[in-house]
Amino acid sequence: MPWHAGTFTLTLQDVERYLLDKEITELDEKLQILRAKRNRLSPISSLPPELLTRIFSFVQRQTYWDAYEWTAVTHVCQDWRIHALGTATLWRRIVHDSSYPRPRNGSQPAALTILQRSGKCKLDVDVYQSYTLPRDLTLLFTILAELPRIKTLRLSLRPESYCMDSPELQKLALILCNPAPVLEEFRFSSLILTSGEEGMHRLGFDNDLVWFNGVSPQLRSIILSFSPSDLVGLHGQNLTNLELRNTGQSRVSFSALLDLLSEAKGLKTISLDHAFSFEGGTPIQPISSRVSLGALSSSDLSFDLPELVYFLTTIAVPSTSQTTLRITSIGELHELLEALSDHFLDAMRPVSSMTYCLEDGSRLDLELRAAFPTHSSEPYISILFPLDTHAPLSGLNALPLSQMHTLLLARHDDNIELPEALEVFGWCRALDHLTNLALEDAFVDLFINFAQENIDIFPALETFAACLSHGEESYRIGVLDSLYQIFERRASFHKPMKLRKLLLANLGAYGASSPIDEKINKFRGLVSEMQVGEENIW
Amino acid sequence: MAAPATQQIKIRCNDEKEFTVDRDVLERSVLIKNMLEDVTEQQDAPIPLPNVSGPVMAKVLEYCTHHRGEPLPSADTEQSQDETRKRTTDISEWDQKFITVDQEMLFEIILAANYLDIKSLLDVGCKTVANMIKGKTPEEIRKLFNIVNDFTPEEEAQIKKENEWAEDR
Repeated sequence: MPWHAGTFTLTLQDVERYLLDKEITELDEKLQILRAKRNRLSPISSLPPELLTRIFSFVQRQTYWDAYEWTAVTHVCQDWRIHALGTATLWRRIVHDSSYPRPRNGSQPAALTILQRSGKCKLDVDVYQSYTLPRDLTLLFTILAELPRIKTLRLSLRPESYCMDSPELQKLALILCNPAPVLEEFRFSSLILTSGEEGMHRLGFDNDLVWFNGVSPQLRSIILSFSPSDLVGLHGQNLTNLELRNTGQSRVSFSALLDLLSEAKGLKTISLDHAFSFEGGTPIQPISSRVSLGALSSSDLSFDLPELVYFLTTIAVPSTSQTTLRITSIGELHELLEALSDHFLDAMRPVSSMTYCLEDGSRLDLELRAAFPTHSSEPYISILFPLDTHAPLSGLNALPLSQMHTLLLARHDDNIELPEALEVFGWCRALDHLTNLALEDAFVDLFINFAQENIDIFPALETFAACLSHGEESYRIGVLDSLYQIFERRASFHKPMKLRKLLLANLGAYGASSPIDEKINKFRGLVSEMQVGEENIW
Repeated sequence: MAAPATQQIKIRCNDEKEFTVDRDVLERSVLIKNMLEDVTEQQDAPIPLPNVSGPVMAKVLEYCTHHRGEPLPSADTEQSQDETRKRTTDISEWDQKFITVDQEMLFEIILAANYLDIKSLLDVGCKTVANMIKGKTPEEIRKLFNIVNDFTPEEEAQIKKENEWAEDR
């Protein structure tokens, strides 16, 4: 008989169904407990949670291109899921990118879920705007609201999607003016994927903003491609890496760059590609008052020549750093550069700098750079750089040594001027950085030629002679042979006594234990005889 | 002149198996290194290692002998290694061969490396497990580790939702 309670009526079948459902649920629960118990017998279950975290984080790193592929581990069993969902640090990487073939990376619910699971831990945020992404930046704004706990922020936006005064950009600018106290890496790229003048788009905020309200004390790396604003607000106390890339008109001012570099005492790598807006001018600072990047170990500079001169006369790049220079346009020296392949401008480093007073009273600052390209078997002495743009840009040369002799002689025949002559001495000064070079004939001819022109070659010759005391033996023998040839042609010198003095001093300083001792002694004897036999004539 | 004799240290595992090993090999383990530094006088009694069995210790010692003399990670290098770990999960050829063992032994080695505090061995073990997991579906991972699906219906529903992330844009 049916049982009545209020308006409900339960039949016997209902009761039986209810009881069966209850039993099924209980059995399901029991099964679930048994399955969980069985899983604990798996060898991997012997690992404590911290080791499981370690393994999961390795899986995460191995699946970089699909930021969420690793989350398959959360779908394996209850223990793994509970553990992974409860470990906030596993969820610190937020990726938002809708491009194929990483569909999950573009999922808004995915990004929001990850954000929630990350709890309060520091975040690594990568946002890439692709073709298919709508202009709506709501999700980006939600993620950026977490700026106080973002440790790595990489933003790539497609500039053609926005007009300069779009509300989205204004809001983005406002958000980026909030403090970022734990931010260590900041990368902002305004992609330009189209070519030609009409297709050129760049992203720029209406007004220059003060990045992060000036609060970004942990910044270790800044990478800005086509920065939408100047560098104001970014701090360099902890900076170890700086990369700025631009084409066309940059929003980065040289003064802001200089302020940043002045703070960046620990900067180790710098890469600048047409990095700042350049309106001409020649600051010309003495080396002592230039901003010094003392900790720099590597620099990659890509500029038009005037910009480069501007940069190098304001900022001192230490000689210990590996420097790569790419000069994209050099004006009237264009033809010379064309004769040189790009790789000759690689791996350059300053060797020395010199200042000369010219006859008209102007000053010529020269910086010598030597290059040791790893991809070439032949080392070469490279640019003698005129840093004073008031002086004629007389010498931008990057030459393999085997070509130097021919080229210098050719230029000599073209009535070279004093600056060019000075280059030769500069090259000589670089010699102590080079070994095993077959330069003897080139240098002998050069010394003789310049000596005949009554140019004081002795400082360079002294440096050359000093090479006797170090380097590979074959190289030292080469230097000795060169000096001997110079000595044999001493009639060409206007100051032969000075030559004798120089040779005696250098030969005398040569170590007695050397295997080429005999040769040295013979040479020394000849030089001494010159004193006895020719003293009266000279 | 003969090279100075390397100090030999005795260790005893939880199955009473004993090993006599060169001190520099044993010092790959930060745990044992610290223990040895704390002992000022030479001890003849073996160092007890209650959490490691003989067969596992033999494997661990094989690893330590191969890598003897390599610098131990300091606090500084630990940080840079952390950076390196982010970029690569490569395992050297020798380490790969060394760690090609059955699952039970693999996890025993990982546990031993954790207990003995041998960071590099721990990483080799964990990376190997990560490599086994990488690219597999949850069902394939279950099969690999002899695990069954023990999710509740509620959890299943949530997982189904998460699987829809791929289609949701």
